[in-house]
Amino acid sequence: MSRARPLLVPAEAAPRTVQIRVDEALVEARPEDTLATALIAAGSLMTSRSPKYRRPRGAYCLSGDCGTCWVRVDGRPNVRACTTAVREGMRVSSQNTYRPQRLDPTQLVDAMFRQGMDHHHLMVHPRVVNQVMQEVARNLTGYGELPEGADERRCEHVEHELPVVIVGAGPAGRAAARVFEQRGIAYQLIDRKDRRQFEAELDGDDLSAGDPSARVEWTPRELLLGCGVFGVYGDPRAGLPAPAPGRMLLAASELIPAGEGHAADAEHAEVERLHGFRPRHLIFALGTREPMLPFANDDLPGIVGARGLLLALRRAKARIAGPCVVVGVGERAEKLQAALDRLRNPAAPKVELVDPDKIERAIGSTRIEGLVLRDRRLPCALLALAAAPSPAHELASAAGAQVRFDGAGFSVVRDDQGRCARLDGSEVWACGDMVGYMGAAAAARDGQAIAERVAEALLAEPAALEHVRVVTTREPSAPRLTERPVVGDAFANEPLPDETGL
Amino acid sequence: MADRTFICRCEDVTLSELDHGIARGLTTIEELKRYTGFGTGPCQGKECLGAVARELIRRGLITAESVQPFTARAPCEPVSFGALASVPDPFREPAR
Repeated sequence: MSRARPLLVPAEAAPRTVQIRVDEALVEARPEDTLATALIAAGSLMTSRSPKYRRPRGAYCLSGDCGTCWVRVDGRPNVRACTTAVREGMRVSSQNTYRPQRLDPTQLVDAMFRQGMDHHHLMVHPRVVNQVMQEVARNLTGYGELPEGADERRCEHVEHELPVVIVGAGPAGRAAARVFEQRGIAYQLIDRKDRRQFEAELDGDDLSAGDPSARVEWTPRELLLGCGVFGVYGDPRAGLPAPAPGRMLLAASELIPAGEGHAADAEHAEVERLHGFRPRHLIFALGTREPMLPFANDDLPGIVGARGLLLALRRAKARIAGPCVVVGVGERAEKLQAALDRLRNPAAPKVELVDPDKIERAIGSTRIEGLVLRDRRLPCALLALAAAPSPAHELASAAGAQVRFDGAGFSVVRDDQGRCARLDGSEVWACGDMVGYMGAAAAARDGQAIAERVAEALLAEPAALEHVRVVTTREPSAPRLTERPVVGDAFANEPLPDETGL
Repeated sequence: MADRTFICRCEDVTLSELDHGIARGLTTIEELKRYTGFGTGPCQGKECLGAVARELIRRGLITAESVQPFTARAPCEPVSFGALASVPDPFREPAR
């Protein structure tokens, strides 16, 4: 690792204070780094091998969307390097690889079975041969190994009933939150990114490079960061006598790093808090994701999303120190190229923009080294893909919203008011880039407009406006192992035993 | 290392595998997902779904108006079993 060229350098001379162990090497990082930026800075881009072809893979989207930067951290497998902040003494290992990383025993399998392998019949008999083969295969492939030892993480559950929840603290979500805060309506703004990332993204929109005039100083009061919403559900208590009004359930998982939880948890490694929100109105402001562009060897480590790279550089206060090329066409790609070029170390070559149709293939072994174009070759250590962004439609789809293809991805369809779905007694709204890419300034205006409509609807419904309730389960008792009686077809209608109170 | 063009990096699905599925008469997102396994990895289609849709439209196999994604299912962010187990069972404690 010490032989690799650094790809990122600090923006200003700062003492590197955090040391992490990556496989067998020591990597020096700064407190503002994520694991991914620390690894890219060190020029150590490969984090795993892919499941089928065993090809080197590294961080791509740098924002928590893709699945290729997963590493093992302190014995826990499948941790996203791109959204994990570095911590002194962190022990990081790459997954599904052998050391040295260039060695890949599965190449032997490819050499032996040139025509492909019929795994339905290979070494199935006798049984002992099959068992050996299974064991070898398991050790060669798969997503990480199980954690070492018992899990130290503590879990707790918090349930919230409140008028408004906003998911996504980008320009649209923040503008919506501001409306509710000004009107004194109880709300909660949630985002999966951590505080450093949130603050880095306050510096104007995603295409300006820290222009001070674009900085938004206002920070929402009810802001829950590091909290990923993983599902929306109809009311699981529907049909049961419950005091709460029938409302949808929005489930989110908040990871609180060691030492940052409440005092009683000081001795615990970390806390995972499961939030169940039951909002009267749910506003999605989830923005967009960066899709991939198909060209030969588009999976090499060092190929990253352009916006993801820009935001990661701002968070880590880092500058590009190697040859970087942006792939894309159109105004947004040009803006991303200009923004990345402003975050380039003066010693590094200028950030170039390349049309994806001109690419023949990318070359490299464990990381990208160059780009072969139809007419020339370009040296390249970081290839930033600036494809048209695709809306983050998944949660809205799961809530019942319709989607339509917009040329890049599936954007959420909403009615003329801004509603995209109704789930039980809750109304679901969508705003910002997830209804079709519009850019930061337009997304903020859209978020504000939708929030004003939601506020009007709430002011006409005082009962929902007043209803705020938080229930915390701090010490969950181990779930009792009891069996529910299954009585033939009558199960659905049969009353459960008296302990349920039915 | 052979040159390969990936359409889904999570599950190592290449453009030629997609071609193979199309050559066998599969034209919809859902069919091709079942055949190639694209979109079934850790990212659950966040990276590849748009790229596959674009590819199908480009080849005239489906129209932009009719193409639909495969069903989005929870969890779309990581959550541990421990955290899920911390939720009181609503069927056991309905009056809470």
